[in-house]
Amino acid sequence: MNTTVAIVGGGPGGSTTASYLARHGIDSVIVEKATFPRFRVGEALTGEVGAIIRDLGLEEAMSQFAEKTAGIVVGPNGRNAFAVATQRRDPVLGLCPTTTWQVRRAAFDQMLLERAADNGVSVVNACAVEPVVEDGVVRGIVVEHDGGRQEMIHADVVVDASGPSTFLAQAGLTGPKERGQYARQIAVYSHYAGAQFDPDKGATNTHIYYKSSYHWAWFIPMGGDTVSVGVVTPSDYYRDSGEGKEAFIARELRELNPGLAERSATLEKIEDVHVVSNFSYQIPRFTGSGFICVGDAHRFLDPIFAFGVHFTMVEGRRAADTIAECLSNGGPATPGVFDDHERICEIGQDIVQSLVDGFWWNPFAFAIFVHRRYTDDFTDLFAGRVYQEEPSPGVQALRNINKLAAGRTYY
Amino acid sequence: MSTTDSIREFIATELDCAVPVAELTGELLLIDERVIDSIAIFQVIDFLESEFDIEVLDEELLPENFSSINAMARLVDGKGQAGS
Repeated sequence: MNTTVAIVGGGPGGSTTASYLARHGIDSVIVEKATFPRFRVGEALTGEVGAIIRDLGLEEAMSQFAEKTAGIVVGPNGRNAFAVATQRRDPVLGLCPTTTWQVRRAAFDQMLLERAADNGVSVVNACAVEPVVEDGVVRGIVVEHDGGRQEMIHADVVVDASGPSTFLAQAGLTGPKERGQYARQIAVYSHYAGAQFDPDKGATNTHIYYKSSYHWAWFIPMGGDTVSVGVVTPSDYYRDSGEGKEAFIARELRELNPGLAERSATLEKIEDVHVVSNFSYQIPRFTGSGFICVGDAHRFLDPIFAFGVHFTMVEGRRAADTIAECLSNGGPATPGVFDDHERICEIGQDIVQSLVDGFWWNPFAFAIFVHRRYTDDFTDLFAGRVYQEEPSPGVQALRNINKLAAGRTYY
Repeated sequence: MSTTDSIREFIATELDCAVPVAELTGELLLIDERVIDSIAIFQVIDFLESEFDIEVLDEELLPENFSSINAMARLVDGKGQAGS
């Protein structure tokens, strides 16, 4: 099989890349081993991802999910620590209220994949086995179909959107996978029905409840009465509890934070309880001759501010533009052709890393910056506008104080 | 009224403080006691800036500057000296 771009993975990163490639008139093949719909943990989307969804013509189909107008962080005593409204930046009006969504990933991912197929993208149900490399240039991938038949897909570019499988890193084409700063953490999560929401609209927003440093929970309504709830703690704390995952999450829902306990009383579990540990990692040199990794295929941060889908979709859209540019200008095998793309993606990831660091290391400065001193800058950051070449004054102030407070814990 | 007395009175009367006034010593760790958290910090900064006519700089927003009555007094009085 021949194509211009072979994409490993049919999640939001792969589908977004493919849909935007199609817009450039570039054909692509998505290789996805799972049959959709398949479970992924329910997630909140940034305002920028909301803009991509609207751009892809999917706003109407999103009515099945919960609308998000803000993200709300609740401190250890059950009091709201801060809320950040979802705002877009209008060229004339400046910051204006907008909405984005919180989604059941099974349905959301399927919708995006179907949209890519509607745009003419081929979706192959097979497992990517290994990249094809000739003279140091990635030229395609070998895939294995059900029953074991192997097939080569020749391509000018391979986009790795394989998520935590990190397909190209596993094949040794990137730099070595490094553990991230928050690697010794564990997340225990499931989906629940029976959530009760206050009559006020804000209750359906994403809530983050925290108890102490690196010990927190997400509560993300996903539409109807369903909600995604997960507990993140240091791995040692989970191990020392001596509990199984079901008992652990049930107890944490009662004990972690009074605000969470109140909202969890009516919940009934509708999914298995999942556990993921050591989830934070970073892969340097994630682009090269003939390949680009997007989203989790090269980096995964502490998930507290829910940027996972953001990074993979925004980087996917950007990858499509970068590929279109290089195909008409030098070709994807040119050394360093994706260096600038890589640099810009890292700007965004590094800024969100600074946000996470600041939140844990110095919650006082973080709160004052968000609500008093750099409110517009932080509104932009939480909406996903994190790719400025020059850090905004708010980012600069945060980084200055992060240096002074590095590694500290206060709760 | 001294800087420490003024800060003590503010904490006792304005913050949601479960500690009896008699136990509000200069060295009591207000963050550990959860008297000062990331919500109370807004009132604390507003009070210090208006009461003592100072500006708390971005890089001074470190918990150790608000960890006790004495720490806050040092921050305030240090600024007085620098300006005089």
